[in-house]
Parts: sequence; C-alpha cells; structure tokens
Amino acid sequence: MNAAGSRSKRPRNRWRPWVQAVSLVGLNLSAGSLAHWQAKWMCLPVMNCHSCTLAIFGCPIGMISHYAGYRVFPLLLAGMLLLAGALVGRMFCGWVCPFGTLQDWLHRIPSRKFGLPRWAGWIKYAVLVLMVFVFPFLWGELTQASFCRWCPPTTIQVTIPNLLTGVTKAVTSAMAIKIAIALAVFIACIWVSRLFCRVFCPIGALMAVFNHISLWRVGPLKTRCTGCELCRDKCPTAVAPFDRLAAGVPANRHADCVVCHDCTLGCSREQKRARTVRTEDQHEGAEAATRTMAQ
Amino acid sequence: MTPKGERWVRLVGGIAAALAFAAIARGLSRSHTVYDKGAAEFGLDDPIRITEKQLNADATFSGVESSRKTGKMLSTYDRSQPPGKRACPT
Repeated sequence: MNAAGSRSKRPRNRWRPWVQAVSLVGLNLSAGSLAHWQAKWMCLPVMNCHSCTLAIFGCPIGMISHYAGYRVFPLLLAGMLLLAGALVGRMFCGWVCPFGTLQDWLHRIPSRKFGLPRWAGWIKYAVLVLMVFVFPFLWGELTQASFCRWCPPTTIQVTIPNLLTGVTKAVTSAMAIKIAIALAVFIACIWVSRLFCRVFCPIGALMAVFNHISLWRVGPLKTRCTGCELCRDKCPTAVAPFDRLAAGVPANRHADCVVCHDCTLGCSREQKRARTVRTEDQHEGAEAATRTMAQ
Repeated sequence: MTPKGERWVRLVGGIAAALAFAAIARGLSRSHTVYDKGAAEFGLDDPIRITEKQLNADATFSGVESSRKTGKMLSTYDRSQPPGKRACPT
C-alpha cells in the first residue's frame, strides 16, 4: 500500500495549481454582469454541479441520470465526453475539475497520510452503473437513489449555500445525511490523496477507459529510467507510473491516472537532463556572443 | 504496451475522436417530442418538438421529466417565458 502524495522536497508541477485555480473560478463565473454566461447544454467531464447558480456548464453525471430516466440515449452528451476522452483521457480530472482541486488543497494540510487498498478503486464503477444508469432508469431521474442526491460537490455548491442564504428553510434528514457524507469525504481527503476521485467519482469511472486510448501521452521519458521511484511518491492517485515509464510506455495508460504530469515533471533524471540542456544552451549562447564581439 | 502497441492506441484514439465528432453533429441535429405536463394531467396531448441541445439544458434543472405511466417526456415549465436561472430539484 502506498501513501500517495507524500511530501517531497523536489520541485512540483508548477503550472497545474494555477490552471486548477483558474478553472475553479472560470467554471463558476455566471454571476452579476456575467449572469448570461451559461451554456448548460454543454458539459466538461468534471465534478461541478449545474444546479449552482454560478455554474456555466452542465454536469455530465446529472445529465446522464436524467437521460437514463427519460430512457433516451444522450448522443450529444456522449459525443462531448467521447471527444474529451479520446483527446486527453482523464486530463480534466487532474487539471480542471474543481472538486479535484479542492481535494488537492485538503491533502496539503499537514497530517499523517494513508494509502488505499486496490479493491477500493472498483467501488466507483458500481456507483456509476447503479446510481447513474440503473436506478434512474428503473425509478426515474428524480429517485432518491440517484447519485445527485448524495453528491458531495452538490452539497458545497448548492445545499449549504441554499441553507445559509435561507433559500432552503428546514434541514431534512436526507439533507443532513448528504452534508455528513460530504464532511466525511472532506476529512478523509486530508489523509488520503484524491479519495473521492479514486473511490467514488462516477465521472472518473466513465472516463477511465479513455486513458487507454487517448491521443495525449505522459512520457515516455527522454532519459533512461534509473528506477528511483520518485514518480511514485509524486503521483496523486498512486497508480505506480514507474512501472510504465521504466518500460517506455506512457504513464497515463492506467484507468486511475489523472494525467497531471507530476510523475514526469518530478522525475529526477528528466530535471537533471533539462538543467544540462539549459546549461549547454547558455554555453553556446555565450560562445556565439563572444564570436560576434570578436568579429 | 510496446511502441507498436502505442501505434494501435493512436489509431483507436483517432477513430474515437472521429466518432465523437459524428455523435456531436448527429446530436445537434436531433430533436425530441415532449408533452406539456399541465395538459397531460388533464389527459390532453400537447406535443412540443425540442432539440437535443434544449433537452440537455432541461436535464440540468428537471425542465423535462419522464412519466413512468406513459413513458412520455413531460415539459415542466412554460417555454414561452424567458428561461432565467433554474436549479435542479435533485
């Protein structure tokens, strides 16, 4: 068992936190003078509740649950998800998903870190099949057994703001359970890196297969792998990128990889190579300048 | 996976992307019949044709509900009014 996301003194992927922060704000900008900025018919494969008054796009899970209730195949929605998956696999999970960002932030809180047993990763597929497809199909899209009724992002984006602003007057038992689930997930995310993504996220389960066929590749390394396994500590979802990188296979060819690039960017050999190339470039630049001055 | 295997992966990925464009194009041109919920409660059929784009948006706030009895999709709001912001009851 690997305690993913353990602290390391090595440099991190510098761009990802910024892209995540911009995405978090950018996906929830529909307010004030920008209130007309809504394209709810479109969706990105990320956990961002469309019931939130600020949300610009629709949530694929909420939409699929409804389509399952309608008993209609969502062609447009399937096309959008297939396109995202075929191009970049689960990259949206690692770089864009607001709930993934929140989990990354929570996991930075200093505490003891834990790993997960392998079987835990299978739960999300059961969640996807049952709570997104089967239950809404059998009992209608408004069923209490649908994923939306228990979704933690919905709790922080809709349920709690509605309670605080007085839109919802009373706390029902279902609402109390929903808030308790969200709190439990948040606390667990402090100890386990990307717990929700790895165990419960139906979007992750839906997009997982695309990691095996996506055109986007993480690696392979330009230098020979030394087997230091530094990349294993860097990986937020603990999918052992070392095994694939050492074999010359792109690291994102794994169902649970969120295509964050932390493994290759954190690779000691790759960093050393980048420094060497930069130094050689500077040398050549200096020599060229000297030659020009001499002429 | 060997580099040769990666070539197959690229091929499959390319086919998937092409299929995705086809699905999007077909989805954008498709329409569905929904029935006014108010009229349906009085036993009247008031069919409305809406695009899949509209049905996607309606799915985000239960603007269309399914009827378990009749198997029809029922429109829950007045489509002649400007949409505004709506929250999903789920």
